[in-house]
Amino acid sequence: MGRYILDRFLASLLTIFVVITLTFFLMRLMPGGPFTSERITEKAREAMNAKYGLDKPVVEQYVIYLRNILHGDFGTSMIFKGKEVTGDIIFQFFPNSAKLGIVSVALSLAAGLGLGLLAGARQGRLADKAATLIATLGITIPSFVIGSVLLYTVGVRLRWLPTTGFTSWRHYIMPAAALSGIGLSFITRLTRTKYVEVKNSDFMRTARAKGLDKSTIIFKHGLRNSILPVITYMGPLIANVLTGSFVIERLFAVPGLGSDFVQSVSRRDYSVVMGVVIFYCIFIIACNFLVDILYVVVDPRIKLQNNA
Amino acid sequence: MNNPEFDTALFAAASDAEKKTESIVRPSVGYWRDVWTRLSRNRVSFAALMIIVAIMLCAIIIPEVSVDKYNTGELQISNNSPNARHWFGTDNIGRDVFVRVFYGARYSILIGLVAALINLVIGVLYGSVSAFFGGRADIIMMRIVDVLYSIPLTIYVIILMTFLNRPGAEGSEIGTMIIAFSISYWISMARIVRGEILQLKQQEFVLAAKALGASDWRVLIKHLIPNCLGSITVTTMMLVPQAIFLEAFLSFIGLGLSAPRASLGTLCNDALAGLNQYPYQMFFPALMISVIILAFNLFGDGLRDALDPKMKD
Repeated sequence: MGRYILDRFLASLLTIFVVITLTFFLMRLMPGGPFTSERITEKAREAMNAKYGLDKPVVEQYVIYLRNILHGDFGTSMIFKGKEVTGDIIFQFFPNSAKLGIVSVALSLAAGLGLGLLAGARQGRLADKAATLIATLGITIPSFVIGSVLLYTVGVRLRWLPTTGFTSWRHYIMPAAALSGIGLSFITRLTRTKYVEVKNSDFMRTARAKGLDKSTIIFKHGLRNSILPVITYMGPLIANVLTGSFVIERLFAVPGLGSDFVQSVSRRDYSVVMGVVIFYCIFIIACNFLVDILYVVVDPRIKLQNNA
Repeated sequence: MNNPEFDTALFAAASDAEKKTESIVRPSVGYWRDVWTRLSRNRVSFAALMIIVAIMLCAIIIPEVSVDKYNTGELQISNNSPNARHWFGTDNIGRDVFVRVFYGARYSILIGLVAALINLVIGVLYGSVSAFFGGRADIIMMRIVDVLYSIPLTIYVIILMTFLNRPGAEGSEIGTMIIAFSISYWISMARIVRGEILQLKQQEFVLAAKALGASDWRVLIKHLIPNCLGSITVTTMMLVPQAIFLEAFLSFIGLGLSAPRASLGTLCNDALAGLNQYPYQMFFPALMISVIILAFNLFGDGLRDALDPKMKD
């Protein structure tokens, strides 16, 4: 176990290093610079370049950038002068995104597992068909369409929920629902397929034959054995919620890192874009790492191997 | 014949009528014909195919023949609700939304198809080379894929779009978008093709081809890749809706085509500001995106079943 964790940890570090290197050189090797489009004199531009260290050779810049990142310093925003990428942007906005993300993941899990078990238990019946329909629609309708429809009907027409802002629990409902569409659908499908397989296995028959309570059979024996594919999907799910937050936070005016990232992209605030991308990648890779470990904890039968 | 063990009188020549009972009169059914038969029997995916074809035809024809053009409008009739003259209403500068939705579908589908095709080529080449030559090359190539796989693709595409699509380079967005998609989405294709070829290359027909002196490339291109065509086709079909979805997503956050060009995503994005007053401006393009993606997904599902009935669960 310890050996496996160490291996995976080193592989994750390598991946993060590659991401940083790729992003850095991609950004530096493109023609033009962050101040090319600003209306300033040649001299002022040179001064700006010198201030951000852009006048040094690329390799030297790279070494400096790496050293700064190791100290947790992603530099300062190139558009909002003086704003630190880590302190004033990432740590300012990410908690909101994280809260929304956690609510959305919880919603996807609860609804997806529920629908999946229901569909699997009532295979071929009406409930199964309804759940399959929901899962198909959830995959095909883009999150921003679900979001806009909710915003217009529930928010503007019915006035049941507030449309913008992020202060009370009522603000979470619509964005979290819109973000959950895809995750919910995938979890429903995965759970259904696995539960149909598990349902007919020997241990389930034994549980029924012993005369156990129906909910014990489904939740203790059925759910536990159907949950593995869902755990594998947790990594992609988190990545999905994260990228989905780019549009959903913008749509519902949530002050999160996603909407801030998109604004930085359109303003071409290079240092912020790079800092946020690297932060996101580290976050995703860390999540995948945790999911891998969780996977082994849930199912001890799985042999720890590093040949994935 | 004077064989003591057989009595020749027991044997007679078969008549022509008797010979005909063994002749093959029905045409032999090839693989693709078989696939087509199975596909057309699947009502859902056949309907999806028809919808895709209909939308494509409309997207080509309607913006050309319509009196209203996608880029001209009259301010007097701006923000009209759907009516007999303008079926889907008009937008904030009086352009006909019906024409614009089909015009937008053009770019959405075009980007989806081209991106899927490029990913097909890159993914198949990468995956098959990696699997076929194996050894150290395979390990290194798959390590690269693993690294790319652990980064969320959307973020990756956003960076590429930002850096490739600098201000001042107007009209280059389509190219940029296709390049950005192509650099990212071949990964799943490469993995699938690699998996298939790893299995196939152990089989006897590969050994036979090699024994007959076929070169590595010939074995790869003539024998291995044609045997993976089923899963390659399905993966490509599934890439199209993904690319259309991603295009809409990027356009919705403002990284899409610039005016007067429009895709379904930019139409939704433009309609967002007036959502409270003019919901129909958002509704129609959003419905169109959903229908296109749904149709491609259902068709892809049916195609998978038709190409390989064994895979059906």
